[in-house]
Amino acid sequence: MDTFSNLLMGFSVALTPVNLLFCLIGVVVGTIIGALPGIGPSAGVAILLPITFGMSPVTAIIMLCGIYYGAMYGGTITSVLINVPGESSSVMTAVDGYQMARKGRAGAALGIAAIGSFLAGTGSVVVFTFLAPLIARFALSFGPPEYFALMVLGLATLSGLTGRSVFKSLAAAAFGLLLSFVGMDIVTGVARFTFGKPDLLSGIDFLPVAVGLFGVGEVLASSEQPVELEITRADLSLRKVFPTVADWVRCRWSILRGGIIGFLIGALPGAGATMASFISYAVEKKSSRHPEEFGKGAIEGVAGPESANNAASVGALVPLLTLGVPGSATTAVMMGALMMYGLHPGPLLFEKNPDFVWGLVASMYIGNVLLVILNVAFVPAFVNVLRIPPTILQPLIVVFCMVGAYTLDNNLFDVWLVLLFGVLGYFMKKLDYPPAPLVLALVLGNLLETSLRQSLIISGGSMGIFVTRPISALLLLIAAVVILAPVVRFLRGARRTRAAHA
Amino acid sequence: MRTAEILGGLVVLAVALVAGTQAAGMTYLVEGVPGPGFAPVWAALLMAVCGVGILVEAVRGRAEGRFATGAAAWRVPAMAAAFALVIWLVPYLGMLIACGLVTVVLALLMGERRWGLILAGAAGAVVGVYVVFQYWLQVPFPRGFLGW
Repeated sequence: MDTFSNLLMGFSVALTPVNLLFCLIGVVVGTIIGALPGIGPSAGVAILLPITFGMSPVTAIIMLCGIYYGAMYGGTITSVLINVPGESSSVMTAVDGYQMARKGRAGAALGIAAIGSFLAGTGSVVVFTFLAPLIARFALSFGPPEYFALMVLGLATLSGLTGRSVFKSLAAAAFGLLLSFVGMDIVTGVARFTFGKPDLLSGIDFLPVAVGLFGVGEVLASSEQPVELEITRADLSLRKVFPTVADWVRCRWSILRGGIIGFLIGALPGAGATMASFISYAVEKKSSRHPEEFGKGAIEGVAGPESANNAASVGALVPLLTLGVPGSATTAVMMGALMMYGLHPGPLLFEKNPDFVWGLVASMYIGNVLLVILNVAFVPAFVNVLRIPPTILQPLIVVFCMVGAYTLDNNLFDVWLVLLFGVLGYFMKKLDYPPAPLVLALVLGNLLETSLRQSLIISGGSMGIFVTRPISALLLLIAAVVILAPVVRFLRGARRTRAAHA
Repeated sequence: MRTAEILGGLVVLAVALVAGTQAAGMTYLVEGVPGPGFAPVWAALLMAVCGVGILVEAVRGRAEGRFATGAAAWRVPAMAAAFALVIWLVPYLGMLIACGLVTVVLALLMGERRWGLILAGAAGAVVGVYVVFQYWLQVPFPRGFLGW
C-alpha cells in the first residue's frame, strides 16, 4: 500500500466515534495541563496513563498524543495572560505575549499562537506522513549493534542537552539504568538489586517512577509557595482572537520558520520543544527588521516559538515510532505505555501494526483541527480552569497519582514507590538534576542490555562490532562528542580558574 | 546551598558504591557474553564518575537551586509524611475515603482554610475516582471498615 492509501486507512480508524471522542478528550485535557503551571505534558501523560488501561492501544495512544500536543497549545494561555509559562516550552512566548496582553492585545497573541501552532503542527504531520515510512524502511536494516548505538545516542543527547551540569544529567541516567536492572535478569534468571524484597522481583515499572518524579515531585516543589494566579483582564471574544491582516503579514514567515525549526529540533533525541522554541525566538529576533520590538510585544516573538514547540511535539514522534528510541521525557513515557499495550515501537511497527500507526497519524490531523477550534473559540473556558486555587488542584493531582499507580497492579507497593520517587523528584528539582534522563534510561535499560548482549553474541564477545559497522560507529561517535564536549568545557574552566588563582 | 550540592554528590557516590558492590557479586561474563553483572557494573561506574564530577563542581562553588526557609520549609516534609500516613491507612479506610482524606490534609497543609472549597475538592476527588476507576475501569480498590 502507498502512503495515501495507508493514510486513508488511518482516517477510517481515527474517525470511529470512540477514537474521535478520546482524541477530543486528549486535546482538551492536554490544553488544560499545558495551561496549568507546575504540571507538564510528561506528568499529564504519566498520570492519565492508567485511565487508558481498558482501551484498545490505538485509542489509548490517540488520547495520550492528544494530551502531548494539546499541552503545547495550552502553555500559551498562562504565558500570555499571567506571564507564567504553563510549561517550559512556552517560556519564550511569555516574553512578548505578556507584553501584548498589557497593551490590550491578549486576544491577538493567543489567536496567532493557536493558528500558528495549527499550521506548523499540521505541516509537521504532513512531513511525518511521508518521512516516517522512509526512515522505518531504512531502519529495517538495523541490527542489535545499531540499536545499541541508537539508544546510547538517545541517552547521551538527552543527558548532554538537559540540565546545566552534564554530571548531574548522566548521574540521573545511570541511576535510571540501575533501576531498570532491578528484578530477575531475563537471560540468566538471577535476581538483581532486589535486597530480598519479593515485590522487586518483577522489577520497577516506569509508571510509578514517572508519576512520582513528574507528578508528586512537582506538587511538592510548588507547594513551598502556592500562589493564586492573577489573570490579566482581556477581551477574548472571537473577533479579537482572529489576527488582523497586518499581523498575518508580519507572522507568515515566522510560522513557517518556527515549523521547520521545531520539526527538525523535535526529531533530534534530547532536544525537544523547549529548545526549539528558544532557537525559534532567537532566529526571529535576528531576522526581524525591528529587533528592538522584541521583549516589548512583538507578535513574531509569539508566532515563531509557538509554531516551533507544536511542530517539535510531532517531530519527537519520529524517532519514537520509526526507530523505537524516544528522545524526550514525554515520548519515553509514551514508549513505556506502548510496551504496556504489547506493542514494540520501531520500524516493524509500520509493518506489523499499520492500523495503529496510520490511525495515530490520521488522529494528529484531526487533533490539530480540534485544537485550533478549541483555542480560538473556547479560550475563556480554559482561562476559567486557571481560577481553581492551587491549594485544591495540587492535592487532586496527588490523588490521581496515588490511584493511577495503584491501578497498575492493584498493589499499594506501587503507591509507596510514587511517594519515594516524588520525594526524590523534589530534591532533583531543587538541586537541578533533570528527571528526563532517569525516566528514559529506565524505559530503555532492558532493551539496551539486550542489544548489547545480542551484539556480543554475534561478534563472539568482541566490542569491535560497534566500531566496525559504519552506522553504529557514527552514532557512538556523535554520542561521545555530545557527552565529552561539556566535560572538556568543564575541565578547561577548572584549569582557567586554577591559573587565575596561581 | 553548597552544602546541599555536596550532600547530593555524596548521595550519588553512595548509591554508586552500593550498586557497584552488589553488581560485583554478580557474574560479569558468561562464555564471553555479558552476564547479569556486566551492565550494572558499568552503570555503577558511570554514576561514581558523575558523583566525583558533581562534588568537584560543588566545591568549585557552582551552586544551583534554592530550598524554602522558615515555615514553608516544613511544608514539604509535612506533605510527604501526610501522604505516607494516608497510604498506610488505605487498607483500613478504603481507597475512596483515603482519596478524600489526602485532599483535605494536603489542602490544609498548603494553607487553604476555606472549608467549603476543601470539602468540595475532597467530594470531587472521591466521586471522580469512583466514577473513573471503580465504576468505569472496574479497579478492585481496597475497602475499609465502612465497606467502601
